[in-house]
Amino acid sequence: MSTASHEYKSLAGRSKEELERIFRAGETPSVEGILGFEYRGYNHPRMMSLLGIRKFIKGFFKSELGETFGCNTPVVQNELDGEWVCKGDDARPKRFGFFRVAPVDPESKDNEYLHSLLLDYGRGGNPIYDPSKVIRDYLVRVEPGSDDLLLGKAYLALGPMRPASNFFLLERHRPMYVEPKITHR
Amino acid sequence: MNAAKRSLMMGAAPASASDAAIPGAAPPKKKRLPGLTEQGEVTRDLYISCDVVIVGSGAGGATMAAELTDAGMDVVVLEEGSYHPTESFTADSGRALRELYRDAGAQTTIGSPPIIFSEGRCVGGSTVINGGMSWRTPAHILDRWAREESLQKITPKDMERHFEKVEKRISVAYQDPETIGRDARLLEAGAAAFGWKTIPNLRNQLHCAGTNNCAFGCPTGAKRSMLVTNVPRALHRGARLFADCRVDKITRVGKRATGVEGWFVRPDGRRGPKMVVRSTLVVAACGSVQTPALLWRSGFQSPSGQLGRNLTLHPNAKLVAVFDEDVLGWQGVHQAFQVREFMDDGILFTAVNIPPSLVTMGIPHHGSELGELMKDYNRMVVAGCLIEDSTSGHIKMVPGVGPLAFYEVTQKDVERAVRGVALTAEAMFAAGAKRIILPFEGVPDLMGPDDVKQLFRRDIPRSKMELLTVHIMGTCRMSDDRNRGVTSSYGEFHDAAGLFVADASLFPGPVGVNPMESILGLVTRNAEWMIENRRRYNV
Repeated sequence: MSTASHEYKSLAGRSKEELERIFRAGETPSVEGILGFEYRGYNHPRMMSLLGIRKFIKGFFKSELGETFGCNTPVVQNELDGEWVCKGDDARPKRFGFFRVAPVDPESKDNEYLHSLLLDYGRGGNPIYDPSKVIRDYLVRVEPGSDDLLLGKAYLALGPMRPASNFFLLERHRPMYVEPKITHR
Repeated sequence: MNAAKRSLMMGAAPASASDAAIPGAAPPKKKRLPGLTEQGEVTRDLYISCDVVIVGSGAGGATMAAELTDAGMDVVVLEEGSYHPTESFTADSGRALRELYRDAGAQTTIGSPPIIFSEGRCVGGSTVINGGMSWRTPAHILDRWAREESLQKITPKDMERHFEKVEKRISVAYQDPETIGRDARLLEAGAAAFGWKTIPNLRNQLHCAGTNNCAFGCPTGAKRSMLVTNVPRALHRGARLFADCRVDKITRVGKRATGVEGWFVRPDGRRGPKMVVRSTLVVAACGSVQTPALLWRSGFQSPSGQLGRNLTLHPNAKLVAVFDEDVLGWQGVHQAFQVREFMDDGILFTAVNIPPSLVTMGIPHHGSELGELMKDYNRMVVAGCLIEDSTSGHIKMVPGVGPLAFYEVTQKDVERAVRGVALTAEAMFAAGAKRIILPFEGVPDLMGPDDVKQLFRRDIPRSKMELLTVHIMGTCRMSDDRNRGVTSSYGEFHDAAGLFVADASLFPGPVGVNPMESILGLVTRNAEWMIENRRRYNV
C-alpha cells in the first residue's frame, strides 16, 4: 500500500508540542531495520507545502564502503491521503539531499537527542554549495520495537548554532529497488 | 534550639547513657583498609584513570562499587566525608554530628513548616548513622513504579532475588529478643491493647548488642552498614577509595561523561590537592540533595525538566511519653517494632529512644519547668510517626549557598501527622503513660486518653508543627518515558552518555518504609544491567 496509514495521518494532525513529547519518548531505530527500504515522508509544518517539499520519499542504503547512507526522492505534492508518486521515471528516480546515517555521537556538536539516529547531510557527500548540507535530522521510533513508523526532527547547522526546523514523519513504503552508488566518504 | 540534634529524633537512633567515651582515653588506632587513601596521605595533585568512578560511598555508591568490582571492573570511589572505623564510634553526640553528618545534621527544608533533615557524610554514608531498618520496597509501590514510569524488570517478582542478595550481604534479621528496649515493649503493649497490627522490625544487624548508638556509629560493628560490608568488600577486591575528597564536577565532552574533578578537604576545611579522575563511566551516588546539585554544577540538564524535582521525604513527628515508673529506654535497641495498622493511610509509628541532650531540644518546655521534666528522663519513651508524602518538593541551586530543599507540607499530610501523633499517644496511654508532650507549639501536654480525643479535633496550624526526617528521596526520577524521567529504568541519565545515578534520588515516589534496602536492591539490579551491557560501554 502506498498511502498513509491511520497512525501516520493521526501523527500528522498532532501539534508541535505533542510531537515533541512523542519524540522524546521514542526509541532509537535499528539501522538494519531501515536499511534497503524507502519511507514515505511528510513534513509537519504547513509552510512546507509552499516550498513544494511537504511530501517526499527517503531511502536508506549502504555505500560501497559499508556505511549507511540515505537520500531523498521528490514526489508529487498531492493530499496527505493521496499516494506517494515519484516525480519522473520510477526506474530512474531523481535523488537529492544525501545524508549519512549513524547513532548520535554524544561527543559531537550534533548530539541533541542521544536516543535517536542522526541523518547528517553535512556528511552525505552533497555538492559543496548544496543548501541541504546544513540539515541535521534526528530520527526515532514511534512504536517500541518497530521501524515501520518513525518520527524525525530537523535542525539546521548554521555555524555553531543549531536552530530546530521542523518535525517530519516517515512510514515504511517499499524496498529501495534502485540504490544510488556512493563511493566517497 | 539546636536543629541539628533534633533531627536525629526519628529514624536514626541515639546513644545510650551507658556508652559514653572514656575521658582522656587515647584515640583508638585506625584499622587499615586496603585501597583506602585519606587526605593526610595526599601531598600533591592526583591524576588517575579507571573504568568507573563513583561519587559517594553510601548505600548506593558502596553497593555499586562492590557489584562492579566483583565483575572485574576497575572502580574508584570518592567520598567527601572521612573514614571513621567502628572502633572510633562512641556516644559523644557532638563529635558524631560534626564528623559523620553533613552540616552537622543541621539541614532544613524551606517551606511551611521547615523540616529538619540529616544526611551522613563519611565513608559508608547515611548507613553509618541510620537506625538500621531494612525493609523491601512494598509490592504495591514497585507495581506503581512499573506502571506509571514504564520501568522494566522492577515488579516484586523481578526484585525478589536482588533483595535476597542484599539481605544476605547486610545480614537482615530480626533483633535478638534480649536486646529489645522496654520503650519498644511498651509501644508494642499499647498497640496490642487496641489490637493494632505491630511487627518486629527487620534490621541489618548481626546479633546487635543493643547499645542504642546507631545514630552515632555502631560501636560494635553489629549494624551491617556499608562501612563494614560493601565498602571493605569492594576494597578487598581491588577498588580504590579516596576519603575526604570533594567532587566539584563531572567532566564531559559534549554529552559524554569522562570523569570527575575535585579536591581533598583538609581537616580545617582548607582546599588540599586536586583530584582528577578519567573514567569510562561515572556514577553519581551523593544522595537526593547532592546528586542533582553535582549534575547541575557539571552542566547536565534533563530535557524532562524533572531534575531536582519530585523530592519526597516521609515527614516525621515525634512525641515524648512520661511514665510513672522507670523505663530506661536507653537500654536495648530502639525501633524494635513498627505499628503498621495505619500503613494503608500512609502512617506508621515506632518508639525511638534518644539521649537527654536531644530530648531537651525537642520539647516545647523551658527553664526550670524543663529542668524538672528532665529529671524524669529515665521514665520517658520517645515515639514518632512517619507519614508517606502526598506531595513533593524540589531542590534548587542557590548561588553562593548551594543546593536547598523546598517542600510545602500539604493539609492532608498535616492532618495525617496530627492523626499519627494522636494514635501514638493513644498507644502510649494504653501502655501506662501519664503525660504526653507533643511536637506542636502552643498545644498543652496531654494528661490522659480524653485529651487525645481533643487533639483529634484540634486544628493545628502547620507552622506550629515540628517535623523532621532522615529519608530524602526522589529528584532524579527513573522513568523510561523521557518526558517524565531523569534517568532510564536502570539509572542511566537520559541526556548523557556514560553517566549513571545510584541512590535514593532514583525513586519515582516515596517508598513508605525506611528506604535503605530499596536503594541497595535497586542499585544491585542496576549494576547487574551495567555488567550485562558492559560491552556497550567498553568496560
